Amino acid sequence: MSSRFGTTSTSVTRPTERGEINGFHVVDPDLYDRYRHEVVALTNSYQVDINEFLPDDGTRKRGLSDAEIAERLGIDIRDVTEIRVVSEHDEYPIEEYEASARFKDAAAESYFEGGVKNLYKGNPPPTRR
Amino acid sequence: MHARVPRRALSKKVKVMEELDWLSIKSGLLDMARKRGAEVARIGDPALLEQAEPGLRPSELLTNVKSMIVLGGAAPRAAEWESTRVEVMETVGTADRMTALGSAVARHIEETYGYYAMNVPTATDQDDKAFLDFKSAAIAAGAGTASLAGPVLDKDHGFLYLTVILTTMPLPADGPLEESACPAPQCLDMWEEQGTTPCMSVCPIDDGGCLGGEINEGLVINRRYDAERCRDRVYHYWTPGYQAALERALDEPDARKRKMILYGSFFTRTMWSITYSGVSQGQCFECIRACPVGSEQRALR
Amino acid sequence: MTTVAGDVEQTDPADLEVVTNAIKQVGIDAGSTLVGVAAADAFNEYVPEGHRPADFLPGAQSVVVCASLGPTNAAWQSPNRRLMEITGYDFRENVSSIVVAEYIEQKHGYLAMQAPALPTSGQQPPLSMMLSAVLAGLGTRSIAANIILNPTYGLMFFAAAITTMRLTPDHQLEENVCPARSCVRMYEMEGKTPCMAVCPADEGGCLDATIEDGKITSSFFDRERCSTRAMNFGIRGHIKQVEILTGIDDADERRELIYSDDFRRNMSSIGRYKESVSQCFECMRVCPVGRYRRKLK
Repeated sequence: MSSRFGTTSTSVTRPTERGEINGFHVVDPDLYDRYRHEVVALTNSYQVDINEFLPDDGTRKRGLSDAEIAERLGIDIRDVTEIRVVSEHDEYPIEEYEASARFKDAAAESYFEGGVKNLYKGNPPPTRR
Repeated sequence: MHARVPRRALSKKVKVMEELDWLSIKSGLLDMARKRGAEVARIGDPALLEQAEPGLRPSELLTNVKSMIVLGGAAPRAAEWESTRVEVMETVGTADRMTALGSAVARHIEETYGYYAMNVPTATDQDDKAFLDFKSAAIAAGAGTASLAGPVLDKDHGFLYLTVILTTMPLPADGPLEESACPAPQCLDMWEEQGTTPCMSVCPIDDGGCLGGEINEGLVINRRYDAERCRDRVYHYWTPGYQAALERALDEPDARKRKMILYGSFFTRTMWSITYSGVSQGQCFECIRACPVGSEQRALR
Repeated sequence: MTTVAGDVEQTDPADLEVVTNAIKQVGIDAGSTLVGVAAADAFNEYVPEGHRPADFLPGAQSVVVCASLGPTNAAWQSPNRRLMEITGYDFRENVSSIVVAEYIEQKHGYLAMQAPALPTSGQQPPLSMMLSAVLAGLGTRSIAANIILNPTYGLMFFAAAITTMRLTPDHQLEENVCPARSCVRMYEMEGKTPCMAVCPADEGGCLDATIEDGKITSSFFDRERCSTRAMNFGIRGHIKQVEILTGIDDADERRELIYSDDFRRNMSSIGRYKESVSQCFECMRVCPVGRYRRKLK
């Protein structure tokens, strides 16, 4: 694509090929099951060592874009997007939302009882009761 | 006798005037609106809309309405039009500012002058009908002119978001404009050469798009507009998109496929757009992106 | 100064700093607490193509980042922690970024837009506001959910404007705000920092890290679990409930779900989004950075 600022690196592909458009695309459930864990491991769902102060010698990492994942796994980019987004919802069941609410109750209560030091007291500690 | 807020309800700030200089009041109101962000500020005669279909007439919203204050503004930034990514325009809208401005003007009228004033809601009523035909109000006030693409266009600024304040205050009306911004000279040239205009070229009704029409002696005639398709583009990831995806999910007997639809990017995106609807009003601008009216304003570095 | 590529107007560096500071002041006057500038090409080292400023505005030179505080100090003190879930923010940083963009366009004639930060593809925003804040020197990434901590204010919320105008960029802070000294001491004694203690990844939480010589040497953040906490009620809960509803044949069972308090709270959070932006602050509650500012009368 050309602009007043010269031709960009995206000059030969369509937005759907670059993963810039969603539209309505439904991934095949079998494809999802097959690639889900591989895709999730490459995304920002679980962020490992992304801190900018970590050295750029392989220590610092980042999640990959849908385009990068598609190229690495050899699957259509739109399927990558769908697998990624579906798995974001799918990693935890609805029961986790209830557990999250109870966690917050316990964490706030622990803090108001005794501050940060209270977090280390007891077995199990207050936030896990 | 003009309809007013009952005298006993007036606050101390309300000015009780014996002789009212309507021109000065009008000028002050419109200046106030411009200072607060309106690019265009005009007064229209609501009587011009009384022939609209029932349910869309100003008098049905405010009995004894005497004036329509039509404000246009909050256009996307020039950079947004230049962006090569449609997600930009889809998610950074500031149309809400016009609603806030309209409310401020309405409140100012009531508190200062003691006349009824309301900011007409921009959301739709039952059956997805507007409370008022904003385009007709804008045209009646001269806040722009009709276009083949659909939106009212100001000859300098092009596309603007509109808000309309109805009031019982009798302000001198500006009239409709005599010259239309559409078709622009560039569009006339394109029509002569190619038999189409920029907006029709980008969204042709006979090729999967929404717009069609002709230009004859400098005027748009035989305009064709696929409102349903346009709605599905403008509200791509909003309620219509949510409904369409939900319907597809409900029709899907396979639970795994249902999950792929409901957890998928499209349905998720409709939820984000609904949640952040203030910035998601308008998700297709392609006809106006191609439109030369007001484009000089966007020619920045 | 970071080298900026492109056909840009040559400006006297001294003037550029004055102009940049004036633009920052516009953001402050519009309600932000802090404003910083990142060079557009500084993003290239950290994010892939498709998520860089120039991908959204060809010729982008600068990203002006606006930061504001979230809940008021009183909200942090409330014994009812659910108050923080719907305490409401004023989104001033968003307003500021738009005001800054319009100021640049109107006064200087350069293209400027609010950076698109609303997620458009699942959880993924087009441009990372967290990275923008780091590159603009407004804070550094912490162990606690990778939240960007400002050394003075701690947790802040960010929005940005991308522009083709070349401005004097700020740079990443030289010292990582996290871990704070007290956190390093706690880690040495207990093997965890306060945020890791409240939300440990190895015990059903979201966070983990290692610290050596007072510096983060590795970190782990479970964003999806964190989402169930920070977006406890709203889009994701609603989607899950709709999925469940589509699979229920029994009308009474469906009715029970539809009229449940959870369903209502999900819809309420969607409808009142401005008051429900963030719904878990537990790692920040125990974070010492900026906490001293929250103690009022």
